[in-house]
Parts: sequence; C-alpha cells; structure tokens
Amino acid sequence: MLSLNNVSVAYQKSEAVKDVTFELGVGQIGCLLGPSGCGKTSILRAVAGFEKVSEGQIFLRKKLVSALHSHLEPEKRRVAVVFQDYALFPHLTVAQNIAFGLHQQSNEKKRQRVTELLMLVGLPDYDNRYPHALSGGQQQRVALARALAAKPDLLLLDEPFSSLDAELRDELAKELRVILKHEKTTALMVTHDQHEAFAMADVIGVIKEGRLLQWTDAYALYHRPANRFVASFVGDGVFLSATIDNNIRLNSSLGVFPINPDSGFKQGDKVVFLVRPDDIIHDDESETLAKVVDRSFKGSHILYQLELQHVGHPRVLCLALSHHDHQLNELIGIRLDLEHLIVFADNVDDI
Amino acid sequence: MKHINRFYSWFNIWFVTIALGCIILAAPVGLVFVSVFFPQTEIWQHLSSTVLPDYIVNSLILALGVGLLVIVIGTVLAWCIARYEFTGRKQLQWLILLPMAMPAYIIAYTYTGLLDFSGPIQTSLRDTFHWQYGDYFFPDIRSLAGAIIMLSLVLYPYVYLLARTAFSEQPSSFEEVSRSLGVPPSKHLFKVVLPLARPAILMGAALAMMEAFADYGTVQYFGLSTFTTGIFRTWFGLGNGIAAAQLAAMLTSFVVLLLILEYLSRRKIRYYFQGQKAQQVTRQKLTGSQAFWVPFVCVTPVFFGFILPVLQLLKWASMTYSKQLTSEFWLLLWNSFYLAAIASITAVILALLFAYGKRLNPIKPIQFLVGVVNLGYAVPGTVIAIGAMISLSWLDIKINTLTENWFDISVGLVFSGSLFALILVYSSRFLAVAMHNIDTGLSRVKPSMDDAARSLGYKPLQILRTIHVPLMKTSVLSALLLVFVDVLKELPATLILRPFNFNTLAVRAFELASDERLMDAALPALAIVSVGILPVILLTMLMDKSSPHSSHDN
Repeated sequence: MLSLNNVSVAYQKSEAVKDVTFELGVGQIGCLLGPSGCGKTSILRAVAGFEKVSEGQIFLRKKLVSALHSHLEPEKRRVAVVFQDYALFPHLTVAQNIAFGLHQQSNEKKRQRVTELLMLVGLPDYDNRYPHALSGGQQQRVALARALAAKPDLLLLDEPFSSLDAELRDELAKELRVILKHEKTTALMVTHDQHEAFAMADVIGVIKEGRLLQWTDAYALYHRPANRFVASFVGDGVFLSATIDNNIRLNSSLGVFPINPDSGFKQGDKVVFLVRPDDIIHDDESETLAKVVDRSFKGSHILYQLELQHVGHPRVLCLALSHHDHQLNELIGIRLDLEHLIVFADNVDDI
Repeated sequence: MKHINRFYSWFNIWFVTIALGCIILAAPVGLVFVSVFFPQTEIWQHLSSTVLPDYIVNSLILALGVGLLVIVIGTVLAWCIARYEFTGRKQLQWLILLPMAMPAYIIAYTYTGLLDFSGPIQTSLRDTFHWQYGDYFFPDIRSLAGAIIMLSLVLYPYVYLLARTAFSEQPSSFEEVSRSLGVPPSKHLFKVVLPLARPAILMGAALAMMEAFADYGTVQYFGLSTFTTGIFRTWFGLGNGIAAAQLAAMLTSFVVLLLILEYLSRRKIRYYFQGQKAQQVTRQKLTGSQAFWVPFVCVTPVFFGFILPVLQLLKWASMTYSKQLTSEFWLLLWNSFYLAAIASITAVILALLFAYGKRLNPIKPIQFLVGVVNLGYAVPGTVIAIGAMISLSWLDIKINTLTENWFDISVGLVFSGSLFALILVYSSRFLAVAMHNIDTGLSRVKPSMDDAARSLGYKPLQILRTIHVPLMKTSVLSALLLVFVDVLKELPATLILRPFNFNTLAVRAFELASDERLMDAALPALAIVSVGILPVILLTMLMDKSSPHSSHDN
C-alpha cells in the first residue's frame, strides 16, 4: 500500500529525514517511534504530501506520489490525517465536522455515513454537539471519524494520544486498533511512547536523527534490537561490558556465556551486552552478591537498582517479586538468566 | 445570625469605596435615562414632525455604512498581512495602524480643503482641462457618503487588528485537514476561514460603529443631521436640556444593540480559540504581478487615511506657523497637556482601585458594578457630557442655595463650571481603556505570588513594592498614555463642558476649521496627530513582543 524508497526530507538548511526506506502492507498498522525532534513527523508529513521530498520516492498503491521533481498535491492522495491537536473545526458540529470531507454525495448518504461512524467510535447521539463541549478523548474520536469518513487509502496519525491523560491512553489505543482493524484501514502513526506503539502497531520503526534504524514487529524490536540505540530506547536495560575469550564466548563479571558463532566477534574483542531487568533473577542461593542502591516499589514487584561488587561497580536493574523486600545497602544474591544474548561491539559512536 | 455575618463579610471599606466610585462615574449616563420619565411632549411633537426622522435615518446609515466599509477594508488588509509574504510587509504592519492617530474631524476638514472648489485637486483639474465652474461634476465630500468614507478611513484599524489575529491564529492543521480530505481551497475559505474569523470581524465593526454613532466633529462640520448634532441643537438651540438628554438616551439604546453584538462575538471568539497554540499558518510568498498588487492594495487605506492628509496639514502649517506660534498656541498646548494629564492620572487611579478591589474582594456585587462602569467606552461622549452637565448644575444650584441660606455667600459653579465636570466625563468614558491595561498587568501577578511572598515573610506593603510595582509598571504607563491621547483627541464632551474661555487643541482646531480657517487649524491638528502616533507605536511594540516565534518542531 505504502512504500518509501530512500526518502530524504530537507528544510531550509538541515536534513530532517535521511534515506528512509520501508513498506506497509494493506490493512497493516505501522508506527514510527522515536524521541521528539527525530524527524518522524516529517516522514508523516511527506507521506501526506505537506512536505516535498529532497531525495527518494514515495509510492501509494504502487503509484509514485512523491519524488524530487514530481509531487502529487495532498488533496489528490486519498490520505487522511488525524492531527496531534485534532484540528476539529470549532464552528461546526460533530456531524458537520465528520461530513466535511464527504463530497459529491447525497445528504442522505452523508447522514448515513456520519451515523455509522459515530456508532463505530462510540459516540452515538453526539452529532449536534460542538467540539468545545467534548472531552479530549471524545474529540480524538471525532477527529478519527472525520478522517475515516471518506474511506481513505491510508490513515496517518500524528501523536494521537499525546494530549490525553495517561490513564486514558492505553484504553484508547486498544479501542483505536479495534476500529482501524474493523474498517480494514491501513494506518501509519507517529509516537514517542513505546507502550502506545506496542499496543497499536503491527510493525514498528525506530527513528533516530532522521534515520530509520529498524523496521520490524514489537517482539523482534525488544528481543533482537539492531543496535545499541534501539536496545536502550525500547524497554529498560543496562549494558555491561565484557570481552570475547579464546573459545569465542562472552566473558563477563556475571559469568561466561556462549554467543552465536556467526556474530563475527573475534577473540579479545571488547563488547557490551544488554541486561534487562527481567534477566537478573534474585536468588538467595547465588554467590554473586550485589548491593541495593535504589528501589522503587511497584506493587506486585520491586524494581531494584543493584551495584555489582567488582571492578567498575556497574549497576544493573532487577525486577523481583515484592515479598523479597530488601533495604538499601543490603547485599543480595543474584543470578543472570539470559535466554539469548544481545551483544554489540563496545563502540561509543553507536550510542 | 448567619445572614448578618455574610452581610458584614462583603460590606467593607473596599466595597463602599468602589460602589461610591462606580455610582459617581455612572451617574451622568444614569441621569440621561432618568430623563425619559419627564416627558417633553411639545418639543417631541416638534422634533418628530421635523428633524427626528433625519436624526435616526442619518445616524443609522452613517453607522451601517461605516460598519460595512471598515469590514471590507479591514478584512482585506488583515488577510494580506496575515497570509502573504512580500517586501514591505513588516513596515506595512505598523503603517496600516497610523490612521488610528487621526481624529475623524481632522481628516474631514483636511479633505474638505483638498477637494473644495478652490482646493488643489479641482484647481489642477480645471487648469489641465480648461474647465470652468459648472463644466464638470465633482462629488461633494460634505455629504453623508463623505462622512462614511472619512470615518471608515480612520476606524478600519479596529477590524484589521482583530481580523488579523483571527486569521493568523487559525492553526495550519485546519488547512491541512481540508487538503488531506480533498476539499478545494475556495470551499475551505468560505466554510472554515471566514466563518472562524467572522466573530472577530463583527466585533471590530461593532467598535467602529460605536465610534460612528458617537462622532460629532465630522457630521457637524459636514452639516449633517444626526443624533449627536441633534443633541447639541436641542440643548443649545432649543434650550431644552431634558429633551436633549432624551435624545441621548435614544442614541444610547442604539449603542446598546452594538454592545450586545460585541459581547456575543467576544464570547464566540473565546469558544473558537480556546487552548489552541498549534503551529500557525506559514505565509505564502508572493510572486509576479501579485507581489506588486498586494502591497499596493495595503498601502492605499493608509495613504488616504494618514499620509495624504498629514502632507496637506504640513503644507498648511508651514504656511501659517509663523503667525500661529504665539503665546495663545503655547497656552493651548499647556491646557491640553495638563487636562489630559489630570484625566489620565484620575482614570488610572480609579482603574487601579477597581482592579485591586475586584482581586481582593472577588464578590459578585463588586464585579457587577465594575463591569457596568466598564461599559462607558460605548457611550458617546455627547451623552455622558449632557448627563454630567444636567446633574452637576443641579448639584451646584443646590449647594449655592444652601450656602446662601446659611452663610450668605455664593460659591459659584464649583462642579459644572470647573474642570471637575470634564475629568468626571473623561474618567467615565475612558475608564475601560485604563481598566483593560491594568487588568492585563494584574493578571501577570498571580494570586499565588502574593501567597508565596507572604509565606516567605513579606508584609503586604513590601509585596506591593517588590512584586506588584515592577510587574505592573508597564501596564500602568501604557494605561496612562492611552487615556492621555484619547482625552487629547476627545471633542464633543470638551466642547460642552469646558469652563468659560478654556480652550484645548481639539476644540481650537475644530473651531478654526468651522470658521473656514482651515490653514490656521493645521497646527493644532498636527499637534494632536503627532501625539496620537505614540499609542500606535506602543501597540506595535506590544504586538511584536507577543508574536510567537514560528519554529519547525517535529
């Protein structure tokens, strides 16, 4: 449905998007994830046609819509957008807002579609309200209904949950996914919140400084990150340094672990490996001791920050069941339980 | 028991002071409405069979005509400045506001001089085409249409200012929504852009129409029969103060309709633009012939509303200044200055009292009183002046009777014959101007700041000195300046209420122009205009400060 081919977007001087390539299939929900200012919104705007590309091509339904010297105007792309601020027209009612993009249809048909959409987004009987009389979550759903009304080929969502309460977000993200799947809409959304991305998306792309670092599903992103940035941006975790020994195994302060022989590391290489909070198991039997330097109570669990007792005193995170209640400066036994190792060369440039 | 406690809790010194101030300020206008209960049957029969229909029709045509014309001029200018990028746009932004410095009666007599039979335009036409008197048609500026044009040329900035904000505050995402939904630009303009700006445009038009209703100088100079000239005639010609007050009450009720329109528009603007701070529209860069036409269109109103009349005034002044710069002129300048200074200081002190009273005692009765007095800006100066004249001369007569009976001395017209009357009318009419600035300043001093300072051990007076004074300084100064200039330009109330033999720049300019001594009127007129530029500069500076910096944020 949508494919980007080596796309770059440049503003006056700076390049906001560099060499981005990905593809989104029919009915899929994609998500661009990255810290603020990373260029993800620029990609969205380029797809919508609000920005021109400086390099590469964008295809919609296998048709070229953006390239350096050809640019299809946004009104001809059949791409609808849900804006971060929703951009509902304050002088129009909910029904008028939703019907705004329905052209050349009889009033009867328009009314039918509006009613259908209001049912879909769970706001029946709201047709005659004005946007200022709606809550944030309701406004978002009206904006969604307006975008979906004309059955666009592609729906773009720019930080759709950013102006909502944290408690509402999860719920609405799930609802939104159900609605999009029901309408069989292909959608691309942008967010800086990985939990939203996990809740909504089939495919997630991590963006940093205008580059797409990885384009895959949530599971792979968490368990097989392509580089150190993705690994540290997605989920919690700490990198510990280690060396590769003569048997091409990883030799670290927490033990010796086999690594994938195809990984290309040689004996004596300095590496780092990722330790997630759930990889460290609290085990009173263990001989490896670590000092509790910080703890935060999470109800069923306690997240400990532990200081290892060897050279360099690296710190790791440990998620323990909450009845293992230890105080600050206590030494507790830990064990490393790694399913598979995530290892990168110890290269500072990569962070 | 509980009842009494509640009574005492808001019945305190603040409330008494504020209520007293409000009642004094509102008394003149109140009295104008009281006059309705003293029917003057004979005079009204006379009026309604002769001039009253003219007053009503002419005033309405004048106000509506001005309303329409300022909407056209103001909206077009606002659109060009808010949506297009072209060379000279930055300079035009403040140039466009300059006509605000020009009182309508001054532009009216300047154009009369320019367009008269013996004026430069007709003379050069005759010379070029060798015409004689009667050979050609030339429109008479001294007509209702002329008055509409004169007033619109100086009042369009009201619409321009509000419409420009409305156009530039529409988030760019609105346009993008329309584009992504395949809505053509013309439909977007008529379905989204204009409807959203409509309340702002109407509010500006309502303010301009209030000024048109209140205008006395232009219509009097052009010899038109409107409410304001009618009030003067009934008062001074027919010698009937009560009938004049009744006419004033009628005029005020027309203005009340405009106030309602303004209020509704203001409320709508609040709904439309609540909490929107999204990215604003990027201005479209103009190329080709448009890059010439748009600046040309933008310059036209300011050329006719300011540049041309000022050039003419300068020319006249340069011819007459040597015999004009006498002690009489300096006295005029001094009179105007100290009158405006006293009035602006009084208005600002009252505004400070009301604003702090509202803040320290946020109770309904005080808010209501202050709200009512704040409406003074809408009431024509003539109306307030009539009310003040009647009430103060009644007071003077009573005082004199008392003093004569008790002490056998006559104190004279202490209120109605002194500057007190003028100061009262100015304060009542321009309080809103001062209040607006003071309220804005006070809103910067959050109540929590007071609490924070108190909890850190500061005494109330220390808080006033270390927190309020520095934060309020600029608001107070701009309030002083704005009221000062408004008083300097004010004409009808000054004409009615000035003490015997007391002249100001505005009165003198108007009198000289009325005596067909246009050239001699140029110098006082220029003095008013040049002081009038100060608030325009202030406004421009404030706008520059508040204009948000556009940024490319992801």
